[in-house]
Amino acid sequence: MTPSAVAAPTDATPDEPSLARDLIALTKPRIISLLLVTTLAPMFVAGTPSWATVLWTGIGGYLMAGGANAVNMYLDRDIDTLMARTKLRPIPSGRMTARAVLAFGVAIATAATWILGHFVNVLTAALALAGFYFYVFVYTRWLKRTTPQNIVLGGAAGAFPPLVGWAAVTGRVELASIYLFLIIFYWTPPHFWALALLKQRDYGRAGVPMAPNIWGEQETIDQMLWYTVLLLGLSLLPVTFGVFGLVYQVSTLILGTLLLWGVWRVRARAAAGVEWTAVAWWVYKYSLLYLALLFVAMAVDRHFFIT
Amino acid sequence: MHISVLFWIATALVIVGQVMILRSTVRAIRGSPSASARRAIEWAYAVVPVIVLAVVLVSTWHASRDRAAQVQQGAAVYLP
Repeated sequence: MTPSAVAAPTDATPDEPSLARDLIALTKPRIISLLLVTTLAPMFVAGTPSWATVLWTGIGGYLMAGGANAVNMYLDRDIDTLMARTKLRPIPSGRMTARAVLAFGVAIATAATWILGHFVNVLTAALALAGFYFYVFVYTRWLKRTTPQNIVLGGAAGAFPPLVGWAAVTGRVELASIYLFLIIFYWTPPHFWALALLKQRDYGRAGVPMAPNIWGEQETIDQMLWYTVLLLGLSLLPVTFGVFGLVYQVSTLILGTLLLWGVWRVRARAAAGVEWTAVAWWVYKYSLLYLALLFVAMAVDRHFFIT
Repeated sequence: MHISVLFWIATALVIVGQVMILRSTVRAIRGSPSASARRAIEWAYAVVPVIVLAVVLVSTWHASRDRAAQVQQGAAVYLP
């Protein structure tokens, strides 16, 4: 089945272009808002951070992720012109030069490293920088254009924020923080493939080997289902060693079952040859809400219900 | 729910999910017209997360066992 023209997100397209708006658009603020939730919520799971630590971690985290996104736009400028989703970005639309975008990205990532190292701690800065390098070099430069498993392994780049937030409070990487990392890692395929299923033509035109283009729709949807099953089990495991309690456990079961139900519906409709793109679009949007609410539930459970 | 019951239910979901992902990936790699070197790389990409997950599951089993022992003894709850 060919995906229909479901309204999918395009990167920020200002009505009246200005340099300030373009600079903000380069950081992909809508994506970063979720990254901030997954950075800040773990801080309240790890302990009771001071507001100064929360503030500097938030600022540093935004700048580091924003820098990575800007450098990503620099590296992907050739294919961004080919995809409807990205052709209005500052470089392909001609509003900014590639060199300026690269300089901006490197500058704010450097500032982020200094802020996190100076005001938080060195481990936090190192982890955030590792996430930057992983996104820029491992995902964008290496995996993205070479394998249909690009977003499986590349998902690790988006999974660094909880490690950053946890280290900001404890100065360590612990089993619980590794679980938060893995939850995002295994959430990424069903989330991103839901969009990739809808944007197959775009990715095909740009030559990006996304799973639906290489493996086919059915195999991709099957994998989305199994990743969601795995995610449900994985998100329950921290309860077993005392990190979270009943509030988180119930939230996980409700949120995870809803996600599983959505992916199951895509699979059932695709198998029956019935129109499935609207449900895939629902899965894409709901998966964003799922991750945000799951991390909020973690913070609420740990902060208010576990003493 | 008893901690060990929850542990085994969650672990079963993780293992079933991972096995089915591997099965599907193997099917997809075999079905693609790639060269054998490329297939070997795709295999490696598929196996890396499995190894990481196995290590984390073993660590979790130890941590869960320690926690269960602490709860049984009425000791302070382990908070990492």
